[in-house]
Amino acid sequence: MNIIEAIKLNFDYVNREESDGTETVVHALSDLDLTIEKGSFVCILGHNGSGKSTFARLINGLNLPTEGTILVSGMDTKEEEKLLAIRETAGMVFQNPDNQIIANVVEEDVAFGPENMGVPQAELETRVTKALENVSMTAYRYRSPNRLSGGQKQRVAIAGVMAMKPECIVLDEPTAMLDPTGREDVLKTVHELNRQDGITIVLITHYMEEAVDADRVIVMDHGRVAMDGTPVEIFGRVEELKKLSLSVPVMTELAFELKKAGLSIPEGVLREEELVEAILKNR
Amino acid sequence: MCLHLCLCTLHESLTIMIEAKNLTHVYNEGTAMESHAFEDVSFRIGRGEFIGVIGHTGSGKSTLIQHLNGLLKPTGGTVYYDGEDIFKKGYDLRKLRSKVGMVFQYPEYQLFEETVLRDVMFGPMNMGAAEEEAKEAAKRALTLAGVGEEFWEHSPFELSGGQKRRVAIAGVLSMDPEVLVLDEPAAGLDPAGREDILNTVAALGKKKNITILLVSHSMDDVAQYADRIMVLSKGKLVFFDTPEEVFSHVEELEEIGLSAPQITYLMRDLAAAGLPVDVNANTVEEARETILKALGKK
Repeated sequence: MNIIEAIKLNFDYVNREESDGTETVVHALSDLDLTIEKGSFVCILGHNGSGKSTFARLINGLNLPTEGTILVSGMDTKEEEKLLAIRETAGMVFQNPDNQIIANVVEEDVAFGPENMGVPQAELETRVTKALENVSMTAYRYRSPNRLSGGQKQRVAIAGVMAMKPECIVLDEPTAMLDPTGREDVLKTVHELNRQDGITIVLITHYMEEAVDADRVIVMDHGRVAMDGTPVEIFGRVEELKKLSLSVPVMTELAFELKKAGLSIPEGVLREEELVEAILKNR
Repeated sequence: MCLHLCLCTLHESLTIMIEAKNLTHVYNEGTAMESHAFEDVSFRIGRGEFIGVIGHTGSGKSTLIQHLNGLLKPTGGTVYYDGEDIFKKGYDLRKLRSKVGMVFQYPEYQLFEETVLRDVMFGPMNMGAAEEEAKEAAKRALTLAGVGEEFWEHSPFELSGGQKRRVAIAGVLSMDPEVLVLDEPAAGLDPAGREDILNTVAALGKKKNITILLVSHSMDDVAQYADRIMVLSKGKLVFFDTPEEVFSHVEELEEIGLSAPQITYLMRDLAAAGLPVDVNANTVEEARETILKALGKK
């Protein structure tokens, strides 16, 4: 079953030149056809300006298609009365945690979304408790979000989305501003939500390493799907990725170099332990 | 352990550009809210060095770098620039700020002029340069930062993310700085953009002998570019040494919310399995060399 379905999706915006007032139309998405299966963990890669973030904003109805259709759990984002239900189904987490935190206490922040949806008080309690457990932030429930680290703030933002009981979470570069521990915590959290609660995860990132454990990797270019496959399939296409301003995980790059130098290294090395094993076999 | 390292690992032949002595910054000193941003930090940085600055969120790095050009005043200790105490009475902080240029996070939000060229001219004009002189300085800076002439008359807002970053860096370069401090200049850029901007910065350091301080959350990036790495944790300077030395302390780094480059972990596991590799290798090129050598393929 598909949770997200984009059919001939187009999104244009107008860029206005400040100095002489000339306007040019930018096609951020051009006839994008893409479906995402319920319960999957999908990573979207692509250079700056490839259309990834635009796609995310269309899923959530933050922008509406210029042409074509996007369905979330079968609901069309163009139907205004469905928007609330769409946003409950597909929650969003953005890059900068500081722009997403609004309350003075962590639990109030997590409760903000469901409260706005009209969830009754008793149910709200249960949801906040569960959501904070989901992201391992229970100990911080009564703290001020301002005192948290970047990774912790991002996990609070994810809890806020979880409390709306979404079927899908779309994360747009959630780790770009985090330190190594913060990045690891956020990634671990989204993988757990996917595995344990069956939440569909759409993770947009510039870090190739973050795509290694996804079920599927989609590479976007010029507002279209340029590549689509498993991490092993995608990261095996080193040259094509480089042409699209992307790269491969460091371990894959080193495996590629070692193979070129004559070592026997199998295809599809993505992780450190796989490369260790492959190198040791050359003894 | 650290203080000794910090003071002695500076290469002897280098002229000292920046020296921090017992630098301390306490917020809300003397009140119940008192908290240390950092405490008793001392170090020396030489001309032309490329320094990586790493530390977990809230470790004090951003506060620390803002003392280097006098944007923030310490509550204890001081900073010497070219041998002079920058916090002493009568020191020309305005001039210092043109010599120690800072590029903050997401600098593209600070672009504001109608054209790229005018945006970069702003700094020199603000320092009192005549229009023509500012224009020349801006052109030189844009060329150095790798912004092609075809973009100079465009609005900065139509450029790509990576190009905007370059324009922001050119804005600082137009002041002819001796030191360039960059806070996460590659955040949010795609891999090619990331490599591009870091290569540009490294080349600038070499070509113009500019001292670079790069604040980064990417251990792989600092391992690749930095001559020395400054590690901050909870307001203390815990290491200031070469990448090899710093990343040999994997466990300590993990304890303070950091990590080592991915390659470092690979090398350690290979060594543990009995392959005689150099565990200090922390970039792809270094790893390739030592692995091939250890396997007798070189």
